[in-house]
Amino acid sequence: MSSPTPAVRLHAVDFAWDQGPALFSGLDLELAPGEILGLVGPSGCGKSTLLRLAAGLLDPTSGRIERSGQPAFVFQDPTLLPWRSLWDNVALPLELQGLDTAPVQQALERVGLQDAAERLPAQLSGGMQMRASLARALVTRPELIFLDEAFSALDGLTRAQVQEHFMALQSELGFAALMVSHDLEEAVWMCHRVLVLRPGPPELIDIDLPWPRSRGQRHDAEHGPRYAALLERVTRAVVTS
Amino acid sequence: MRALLPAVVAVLMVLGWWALSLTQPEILLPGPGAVLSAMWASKAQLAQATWQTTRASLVGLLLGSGVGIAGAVLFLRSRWLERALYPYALFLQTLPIIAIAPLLVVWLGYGQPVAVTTAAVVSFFPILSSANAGLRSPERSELELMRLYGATWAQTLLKLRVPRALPTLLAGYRSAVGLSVIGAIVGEFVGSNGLPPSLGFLVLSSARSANTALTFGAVFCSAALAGVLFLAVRGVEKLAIGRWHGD
Repeated sequence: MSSPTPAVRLHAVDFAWDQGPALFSGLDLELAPGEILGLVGPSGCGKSTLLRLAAGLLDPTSGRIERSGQPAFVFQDPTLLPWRSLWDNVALPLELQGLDTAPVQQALERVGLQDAAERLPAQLSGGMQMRASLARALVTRPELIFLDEAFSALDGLTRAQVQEHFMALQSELGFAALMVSHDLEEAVWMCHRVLVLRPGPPELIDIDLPWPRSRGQRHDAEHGPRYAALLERVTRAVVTS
Repeated sequence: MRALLPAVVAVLMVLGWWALSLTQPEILLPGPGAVLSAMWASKAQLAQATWQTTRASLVGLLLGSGVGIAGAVLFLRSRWLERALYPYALFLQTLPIIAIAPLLVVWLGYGQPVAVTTAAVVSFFPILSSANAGLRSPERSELELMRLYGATWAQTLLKLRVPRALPTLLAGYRSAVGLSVIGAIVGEFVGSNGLPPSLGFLVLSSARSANTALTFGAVFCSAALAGVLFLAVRGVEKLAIGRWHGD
């Protein structure tokens, strides 16, 4: 998936922590508009670092990183400010940029939290907090969202529901997403492509399953074998790294 | 039961004090009744003294915390400034306030400014250190969130760091209010001429004139003052952070 105007483009990016060894050397990567790209790999391989470089939260040692428009970020922790109501938390990005807060209502409706707008984060369940975090990311209508293990803190059932919700929102709004995941099943199921980070050159794997996807497809007769084969391939790439 | 236990302890202590006072001359250990009588007899003087000490403690606390919070914001702005000045703030904390008070009398003369200054000096450090720690307490992800949406330094301060600092800062105030009363009384010991009377002056002058019952009365007023100020801070904590902060 390439495009003349990618959502993110990394060109010949080098990065090292202080005087340490290079974590990335000459890395090139493009994320097309509307594409979900997963970053997977063993612990310490630099998944979150690459995400923060792409988001502009870290500066590369050398190389160039281009982004189209204002990105949004969804953290592993919902990162809701506990003293602000749900409505105020979702309004924060607009407030900081001096924009009208009218889109807050729509963002809350998109994630099904319009009736909880006045509640404080502590009064919400884990799943609701993560949906609130998604609403805050969506409120600026971003073309690009970064997700840092955004679903990993949720229990299995809630995680599946929030993942479904995220994929439905992506199909509706068409934003691009770069997501770090340590759950390979999640990465294969949710992404168009998966980048396996490891010592040496990273491996980019196309997930050629139909889109939008539904949970049932993972195990049905038509898509199940292909899904299993892709999961096997990604797992092998991670394990042998 | 939890609320009852301290009351039971208080009753036992008063009973013990009363029993002990029966074995001692009143000039050494007046009993609860004698202390209450002395307090009633000097109620106008005690009320005036308590008001003076309250004022000195609060004005001192206001000054000390104003400088402490401003210092913490400056330290946040500049690590170099923090490295250069924090050791001296710590040094100020280690100076015995009773040793500085006579110098303050030399510089400021007798009167309430000495008590205000000593209250300010002792309450400054707990506020500085708690504000400093509190302003630096946001999580990395919270700071990244602000940065991602282009928040200015002032927006990050007001919308994230200050609310995040409140629990720590208010815990600092819980220490600082008690210290400000102690600081004011120490200042009054050294720098008060009794015009108008203050609790520090009353403790000293009544002890010198062997009116031990009134000394006890003035000490109780001091303790009550510190207690009321502590409860006031707890009330502010409940109002300001009670809804979202567990403790």
